[in-house]
Amino acid sequence: MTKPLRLLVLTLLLGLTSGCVSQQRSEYSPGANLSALKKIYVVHLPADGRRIDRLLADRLSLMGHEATYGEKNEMPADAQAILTYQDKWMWDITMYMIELHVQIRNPKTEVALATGHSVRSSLVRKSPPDMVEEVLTDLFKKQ
Amino acid sequence: MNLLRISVALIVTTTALLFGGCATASKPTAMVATMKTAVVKHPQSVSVTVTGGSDTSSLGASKIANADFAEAIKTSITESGLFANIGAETAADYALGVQIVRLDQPMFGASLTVTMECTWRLSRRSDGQVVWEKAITTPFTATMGDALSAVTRLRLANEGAARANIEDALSQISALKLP
Repeated sequence: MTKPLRLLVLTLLLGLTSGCVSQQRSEYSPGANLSALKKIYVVHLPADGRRIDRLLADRLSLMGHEATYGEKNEMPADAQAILTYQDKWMWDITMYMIELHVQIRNPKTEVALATGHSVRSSLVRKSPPDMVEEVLTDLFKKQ
Repeated sequence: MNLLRISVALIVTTTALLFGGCATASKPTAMVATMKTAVVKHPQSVSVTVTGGSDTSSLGASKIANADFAEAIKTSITESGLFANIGAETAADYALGVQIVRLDQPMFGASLTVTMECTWRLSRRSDGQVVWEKAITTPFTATMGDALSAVTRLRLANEGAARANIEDALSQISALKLP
């Protein structure tokens, strides 16, 4: 087998095994009404050094909500909901966000009113701001 | 020659990754909770519905499907005697709705800790009143001693987290005075 052909075979094999997954899903608790929520507080995930909470708050603000972000113990008393999130990252030539899960919660009981998530493998990766937009747009679109 | 060796190594590694890890779904029987203390036996019937779960793809990670988690909950209720019987959604005295909010799974590790969060909601069917609602979060760790294969360890951790979640919920429901 010639060198270029070998490299081509390898590339194809690697491409086949890395997969092409793109999934977005939102779920709601009975009676949840996200459109009534104006003041949302995004709780910073302690392990998150990339500050995805800021991206989430910024996107919520663009969508017309009064959104702030910070540590859990700094939540404003008048927050109508809190948003929590979990981000997962993978390496494939560069680091990319493979999953983003968000939950909109009752600020007093922390029961989830709605959940949204996006999963994107390497071949269909998006930047963190784009994944944030994707998840939140889908979450609030259905309400 | 070097390039040939590297190529072969890459092909072998890729094949191993492709075929070595076929995920299986979390098993209902492995998620059944065994109550550590006796439960109060409510004389009413209850229906069980689960949402928020995911099916397992053989090339992905092991997940928990709605039907499987529901089956485990029903079996746990039946075996503990928490309610008199499991009824249909349209006929039971109470409706127990469970939403799988998140299933945090690690990507790698010798010990794998899965954290499961569910929202449990018990409503009276006659008027729809929610008599109890709680977010319950439970972790479970599966180690190399439990299974050498990471795929199996992850499934075991899923099942353990689910079992713990059911046990916690049923204990809390047992303490309720149902109207």
